Amino acid sequence: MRNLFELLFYIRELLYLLLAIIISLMLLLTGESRQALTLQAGYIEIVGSIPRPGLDLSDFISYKQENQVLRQQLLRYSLLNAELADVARENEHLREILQFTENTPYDLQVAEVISRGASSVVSTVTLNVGRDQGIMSNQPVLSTDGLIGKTANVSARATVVHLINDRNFRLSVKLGEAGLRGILRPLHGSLGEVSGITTDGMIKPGDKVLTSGFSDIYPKNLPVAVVEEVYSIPGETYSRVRVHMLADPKVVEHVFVMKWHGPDS
Amino acid sequence: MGQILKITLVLFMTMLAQLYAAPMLSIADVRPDFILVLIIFLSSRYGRFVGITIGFLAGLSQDISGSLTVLGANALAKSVVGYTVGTLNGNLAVWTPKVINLYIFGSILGHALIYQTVMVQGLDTSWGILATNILIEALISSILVISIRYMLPLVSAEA
Repeated sequence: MRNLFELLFYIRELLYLLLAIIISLMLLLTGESRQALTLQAGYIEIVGSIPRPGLDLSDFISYKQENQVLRQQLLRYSLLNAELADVARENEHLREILQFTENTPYDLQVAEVISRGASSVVSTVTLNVGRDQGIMSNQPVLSTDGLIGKTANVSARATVVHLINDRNFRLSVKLGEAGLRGILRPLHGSLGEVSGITTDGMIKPGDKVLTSGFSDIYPKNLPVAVVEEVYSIPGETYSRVRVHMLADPKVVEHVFVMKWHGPDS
Repeated sequence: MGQILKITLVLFMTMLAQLYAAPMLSIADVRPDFILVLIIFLSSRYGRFVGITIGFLAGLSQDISGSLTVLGANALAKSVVGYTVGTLNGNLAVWTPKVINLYIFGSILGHALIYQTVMVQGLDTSWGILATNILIEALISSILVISIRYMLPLVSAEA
């Protein structure tokens, strides 16, 4: 018996490590548990109340560059807007003919990214808006380029966004002009894959990937990605489509939370 | 008690640096891990018990701040680093600097291997990309630790 105690005492540090490993593995297997979400809610309350570091020189440089990019985008959207105004008039006319009710505009809340987490792999970002601004969980989050994710954990003044590039993120999408439906899942970096569709040559690189609307969270036609490559794996009936996500969560500074997207939201 | 408070404060400051400064210093989408650097310094100073405890708690904080669905990846990897680097405590005067550097690099490589492997589970990531990410992460952290080590030498608490 004494020898056993001596042995346990001798390997006490190894046993302690084993305990830490077992707890870590249990956490890994129950990642989406209520306890985990409660812990994270506590974290975002703290992060939401910490004032951000002041501006430095690099901020001014990046804001100048960002300003130039935004000016270019503004011009592009102004031109597009003029084009769309014409289409809208025609659309209005057709609606009147068909007696359709008026389309509901989206209710967007602008938010700033205040944290990208402390892990080396970015799969969530924290925003500076929360319940006080009318944010709830499971609302779509967009950047100027496209869909970036959905709100997950919401506190009074901060919100954690589940990013589109997280390994557990899945999204129902439609591809190309044919509007073929599939499920998008992330690969590595800004790449994703849509599987389970029969393309028959109807999808080509450069085609847009949009939300399908088969969801209570995302309205249809939100831009998500562009098709990069269509390929088949021998033995599989369906094709796989490799896509490039439009929004880059690692660099985005401001996003829009879609608080309301129609009577069904 | 004072020592625990001091370590907690340093850990909190490092966490803030990791949240706000690390994204600005990222290379090929891989950020330097200041928390890992701190764990290496504290483990070599105070030994395995402290190393595992701080590694687990700091890793868990990192997980909570950075992921919704993968909780425990950093806690697991950093507990192991706390244990392995804790071995340096008491051996710093015995081992040559080259061996110490190599040992630290090995521990950091182990951390990157565990963390990145857990994070790519369920994704169709190629071995090449996984290996590149592991190497970049290990190199960034090793360069950081070894550079700081020459300015602020690793010492055992008993020394």
